[in-house]
Amino acid sequence: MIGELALIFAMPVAIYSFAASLFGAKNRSVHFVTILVALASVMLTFAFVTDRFDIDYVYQYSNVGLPLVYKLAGIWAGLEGSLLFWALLLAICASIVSKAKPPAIVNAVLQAIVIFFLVMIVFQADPFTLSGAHPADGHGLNPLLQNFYMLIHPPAIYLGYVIFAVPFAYVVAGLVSGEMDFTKIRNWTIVAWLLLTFGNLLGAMWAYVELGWGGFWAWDPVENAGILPWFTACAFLHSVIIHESRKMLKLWNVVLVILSFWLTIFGTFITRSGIIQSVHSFSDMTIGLYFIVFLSIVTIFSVAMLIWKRDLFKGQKVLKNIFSREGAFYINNFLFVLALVGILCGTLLPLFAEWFMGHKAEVGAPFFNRIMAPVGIALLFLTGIGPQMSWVKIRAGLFRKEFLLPLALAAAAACVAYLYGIRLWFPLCVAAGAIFVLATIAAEFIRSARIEKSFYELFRMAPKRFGGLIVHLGIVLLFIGIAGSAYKTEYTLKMVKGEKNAIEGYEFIYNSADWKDKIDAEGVATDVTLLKDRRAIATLNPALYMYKNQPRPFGQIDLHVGLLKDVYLALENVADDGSAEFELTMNPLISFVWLGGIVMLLGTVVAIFPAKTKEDIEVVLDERLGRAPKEEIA
Amino acid sequence: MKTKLAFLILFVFVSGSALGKEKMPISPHANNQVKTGVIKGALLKDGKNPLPGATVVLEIVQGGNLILTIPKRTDPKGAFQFKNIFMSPEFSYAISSEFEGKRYSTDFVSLTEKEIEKRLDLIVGEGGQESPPLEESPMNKTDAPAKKGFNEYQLLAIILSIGAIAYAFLRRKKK
Repeated sequence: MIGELALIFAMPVAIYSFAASLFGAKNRSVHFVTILVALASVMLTFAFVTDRFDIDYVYQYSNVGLPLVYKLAGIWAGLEGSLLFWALLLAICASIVSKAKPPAIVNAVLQAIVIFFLVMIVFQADPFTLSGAHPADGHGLNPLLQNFYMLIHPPAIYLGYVIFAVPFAYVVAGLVSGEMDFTKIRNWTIVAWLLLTFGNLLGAMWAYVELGWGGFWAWDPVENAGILPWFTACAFLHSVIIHESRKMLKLWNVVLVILSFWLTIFGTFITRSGIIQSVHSFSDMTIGLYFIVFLSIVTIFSVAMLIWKRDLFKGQKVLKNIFSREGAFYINNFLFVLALVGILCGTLLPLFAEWFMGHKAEVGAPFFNRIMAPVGIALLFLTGIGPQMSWVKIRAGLFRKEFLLPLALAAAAACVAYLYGIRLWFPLCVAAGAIFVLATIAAEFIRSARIEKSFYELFRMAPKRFGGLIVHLGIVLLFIGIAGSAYKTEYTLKMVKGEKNAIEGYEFIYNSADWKDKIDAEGVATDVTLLKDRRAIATLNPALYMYKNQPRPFGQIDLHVGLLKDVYLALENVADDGSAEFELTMNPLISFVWLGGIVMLLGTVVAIFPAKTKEDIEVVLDERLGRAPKEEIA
Repeated sequence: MKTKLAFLILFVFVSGSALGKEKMPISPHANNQVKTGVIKGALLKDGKNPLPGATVVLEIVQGGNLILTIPKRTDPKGAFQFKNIFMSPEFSYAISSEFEGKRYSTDFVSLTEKEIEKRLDLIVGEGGQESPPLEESPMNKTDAPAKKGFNEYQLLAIILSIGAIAYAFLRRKKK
């Protein structure tokens, strides 16, 4: 009742805040909206904690035996709560943004998005709807979602999505006023990108430890939805550098920000409407029409604004030489957009096939891999090339000074990999590309450190540049991890108790299978000793559990993490005589995926920090490294 | 007042936590061991040619309601296999697939303790068994029930929203 009333009042208050901002008043009632939406969210959490199963949403996603921590996270377990969570995060975001006293139009845009979510909640997806019955227990949360990563993965992804609304709002304000504040737009985008990277990383970790198929990315539509705005944001964070340094690509940057925001709404639409069937189809009702209308409004409004304000984009500098740093950024953006279009086509194909041909057609992971592998390799090499190039034109001695040694090392790395037995083109290219980029990054740090006093000083003076290089290092590690997955091997082990099996230098001894009781489930857990060089290195306990109201057992994998190889064991079945069937996956280099993700996050955090001095140290460094004559930068 | 409110919230959270640890009985077939079997088969076009890479769906029915569907792609030989199938008459299973815009499915079967493995070949095209899609149980439905008009809360929200716009406009006028 209190929660529902809070939502009923939040909508008109948000409308008032929106209308007042349109009429020029700054940030009116913005905190009041936040308080009301927060109150509704607290009441919903309260309903979960107090087992209010007469509320349909609580009944669907909770039961008495559900651990408290998952009840606290119940707000984002289903569609209705997720929409409320979106509205809450955005309202908080609007309150934070209002502290900087932005133009009134910024709040108008943010409140318009809050209103969209509140309208859906109030008229279509009310999380407080009473079922009319008073069941003693609820249906319970999908066991796949009862995982530590699921406690933080959705909030991180949603936060990333939500924050993309802020740069969009600043872009609209810039279009209206004629003064585009790219510093604020960039800063908010980098925060959103950071959270989206974090969220996608957690999602991949969840898929790896929970879904039991031994991989971390399946090109599922919902995974793709999380990565689409990530690509446009990547493109923007690169192309905005050209605008800052060369006053180029203003229109393109604005389009990328609008597209990033559009894709976050589109991503929420895919995730929550269930329009494309996927393993993530946890959604409960179709609200696609609301999203289609809103996406249409955003599209028409954005295009109309760009046409109306087209004079703002006149007089921009144009690319003179593709073999320049801005040329490298052009290619970088082209590749990101190519990846985006490829993923978008593959994701939407089942939908279009059903519309136009009457039956579903799926492209599957091989399609995405075919597109992303060459694009990824090109991007990997470009990561090493771009930062070494000069602005405006190619400089004398560039190849000899910057690329000769890294290319020689890359060729040597590819030869070593070939001799080691690697024959697939993608891992070979990654081996070469990784060494090439690592060599360029190392050279950049060493040369810059000679000019400045220390690495620490470099980070303080030019956090954007060196934070960016750390992110590039993370990308290299990520690629090594992805290349390793090409050599993933799978085995089926059928073992009786006490039996020993030797595979890829490891030995497995199946000791026992015991019945286990958990708070909300019961099942069978096995005990397998893992040996390497005849020494026990781990005990693995893969299990199968049955949860209340679930029609099939859910597997719980166990793994031994190693830097060079993960041993990943899933229990398939336990027979009456105690013999068990396991699915064993050997995952080489997968730790590099997680390591790369963490390094990328660290690099982004460094890049967010403000520089120590107002002097543009990057320009100074470029000049001293002989990359940009001063008169051409000015 | 604030202290009382804080105490109340703390009390409710602690109560919830205590309730959360209460052991609940699991469904009746979970007695001593997970007894599961396998459903396997092949997808055959016109009863003869295997269809590799196509999607087949395992449909699980409990108490007359479709409670879960699990899609899977057929292997290069057009074969499929679903593990962890309960050996219980409580659940029945069928395989379905779409082919050239039509839906085909097998009959529903259950696994018993004597039958650890069952073969369900699905024929699509000529000789196949066409069938309409099953209705999902209300719990899993993806569409909200059709609503007739607005309820009183929604009406209140609409009236307040109109008032909010008018108020914003009037305050602007005064200014």
